[in-house]
Amino acid sequence: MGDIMTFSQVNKRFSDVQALQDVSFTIPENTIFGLLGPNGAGKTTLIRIITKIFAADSGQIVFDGSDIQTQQYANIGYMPEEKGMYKKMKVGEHLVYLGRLKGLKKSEAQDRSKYWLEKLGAGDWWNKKLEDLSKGMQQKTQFIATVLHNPKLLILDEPFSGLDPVNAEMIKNEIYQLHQQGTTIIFSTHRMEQVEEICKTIALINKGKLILNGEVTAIKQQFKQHKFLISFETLPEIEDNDLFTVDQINGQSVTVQLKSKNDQNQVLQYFINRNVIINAYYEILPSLNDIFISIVNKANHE
Amino acid sequence: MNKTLLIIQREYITRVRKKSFIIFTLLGPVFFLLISLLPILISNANKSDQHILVKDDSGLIPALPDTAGLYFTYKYQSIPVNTLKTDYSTIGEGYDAFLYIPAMQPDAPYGIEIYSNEQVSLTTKLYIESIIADKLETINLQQHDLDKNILLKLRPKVDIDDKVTSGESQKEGNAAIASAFGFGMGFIIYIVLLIYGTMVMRGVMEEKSSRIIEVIISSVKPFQLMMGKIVGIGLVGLTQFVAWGFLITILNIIIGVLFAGQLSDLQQVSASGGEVEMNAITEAMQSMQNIPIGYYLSMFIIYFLGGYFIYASLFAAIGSLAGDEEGDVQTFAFPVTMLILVSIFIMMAVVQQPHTPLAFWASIIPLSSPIVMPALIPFGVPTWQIVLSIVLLFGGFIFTTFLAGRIYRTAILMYGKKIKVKEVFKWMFYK
Repeated sequence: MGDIMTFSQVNKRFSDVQALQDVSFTIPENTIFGLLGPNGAGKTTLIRIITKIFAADSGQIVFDGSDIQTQQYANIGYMPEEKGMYKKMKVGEHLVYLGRLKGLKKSEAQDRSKYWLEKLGAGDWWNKKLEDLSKGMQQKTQFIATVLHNPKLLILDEPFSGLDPVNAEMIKNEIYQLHQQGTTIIFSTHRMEQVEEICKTIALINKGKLILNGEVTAIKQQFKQHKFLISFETLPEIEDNDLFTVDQINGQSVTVQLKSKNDQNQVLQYFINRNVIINAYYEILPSLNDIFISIVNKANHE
Repeated sequence: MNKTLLIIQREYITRVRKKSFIIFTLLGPVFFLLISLLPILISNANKSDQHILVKDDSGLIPALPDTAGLYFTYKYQSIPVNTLKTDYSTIGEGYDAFLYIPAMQPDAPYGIEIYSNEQVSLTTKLYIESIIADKLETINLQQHDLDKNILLKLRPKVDIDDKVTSGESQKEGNAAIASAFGFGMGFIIYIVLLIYGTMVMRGVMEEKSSRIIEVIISSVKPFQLMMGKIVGIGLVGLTQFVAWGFLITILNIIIGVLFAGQLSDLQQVSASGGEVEMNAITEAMQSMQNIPIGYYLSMFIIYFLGGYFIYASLFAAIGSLAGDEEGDVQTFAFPVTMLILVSIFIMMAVVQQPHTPLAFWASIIPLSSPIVMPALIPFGVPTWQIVLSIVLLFGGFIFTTFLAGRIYRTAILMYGKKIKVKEVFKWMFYK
């Protein structure tokens, strides 16, 4: 599987802040990519360079075989975190206007807007003013505006914030469908459970530097702490020993921390030898949230 | 369709269909006409028929001719004056006023009095005064055995015909008309710069604070957006002025038809007040015809556009500097508003004294020339000065939109932190 997008040595400096420093990574084809980082890490700057709002001071971003600076605006769809709009405009004309700014013909923009509104259960919004819509409804409209022109590259910054679970699910399904159709999707959020659910590969940026990049499963393996959960029929008495230390006890289950990394069979053997009934035994991988927090904390203390 | 055109279209349409725009455009001329018609309407309202009782003790004014709404009655000459002074409203059918002409010499018409419950209108007073003056004049001429025509010849009318000798051609000039015309043109441009300049500023602030800006500039370049907004709002202004011109013309015609009677009455009254005024008006009309309207209008349009673009781009840059708090922008807007105000003050001084160094420089420098030059042109400005001014205006326009574009594209995405003046200068002149 090749890479659809390559960032090499991207640098951007604002008068007194190095917003991005030698950022290099790749986005494989056919993935939903998670761009992560704490506030002020440089995510928005990077996204603005991708969307051609800024130019990088040095370095290059190649998308689909050509430099991002030579890409048409029409190839990119961007939904910023702060989702602004012309509040006085009507839903229909707002969508058509944004679609036409991306190069759609008027009739094309109208047809597609109607199609999408219908699809997201908002067929009768056409003549409503944006300011009269609820926040969730506004956000749906903004999502439509982002995908209206069928961009090859879609950048979504916190697309679910402010949506109720039903609507969030609806948008999530649309994202999956676009992904199926071959759209490259860069997804930026602070919500790690969403990243775990949606993204296959991620990059983590902190203080303008790339500190983590790769497939989510590989990263979890890389950061695993060799913890195992054993679920018993009835909880026996357990103490720290040569093999493990007890991490926590929860109901009939106990989480143990292995002392050396390939001892899981010995641990299982230890409990079998104790003649207790084991219902389940599996490895606990760290959540992205834990990884994120530990890495960022570590980086900030350096 | 070109993206800048799309932006122009949106900026234009969303503003023009606003209720506030439609109301302001429709009511503007009505308001304007109301103000100009107010004196007529007021005097009309006062002009219910007035019956005036007259007592002439001098014997010089045996009759006063009735006129529209004014009726004079010579009755009750035997009743003492002091009784009439108080009882005029109850005697007989009752009168609205009592005019008393005491015994007097025709060359010393002192002590004429008029009594009424309400202030007698100025036109009524002027009418009576002029009639009495005419009668006394006739009597006086007879007494001294003089011919009126000879008297008129003794004091010939002196009228200095001012010719402006600028450049090759000599033009008929009329200082009063020129200054009024120039003042009008300069003033309109001043209004345009303030109203539509700040409208541009507000539009930019709105885009920034609503955060729509980030979506838009991932579709178009910031400069396209800025220019689209400036041009779109400029067209809104133009539409409003054209609509006003059109509506005022139509309203004038309608009013002319509807109130033709009353208007001519009023003109009669004021005309009898003085022939001199009428002469001045016809003279003004004549020199209006000497004004090269086409030339003035084209100059007006050039400075209108140049000035608008210069100030609108400055205002756009200022709008982009605004933080989320309304007050922030005032710091930056103040100097620009001051520039416009200073220009209008210079313009007012310059129409009094059009040939000073101040007038020259203010008509050359592009920040003041849009207001000052149109006001100066009716006084005659050498061609080279106009050419220089227009070249600088055009240069100023390029320069300010360039600088404004640089400020705009950086500032429009800056949130949260307060922008310092020093930084703004850095953006203007560095990469």
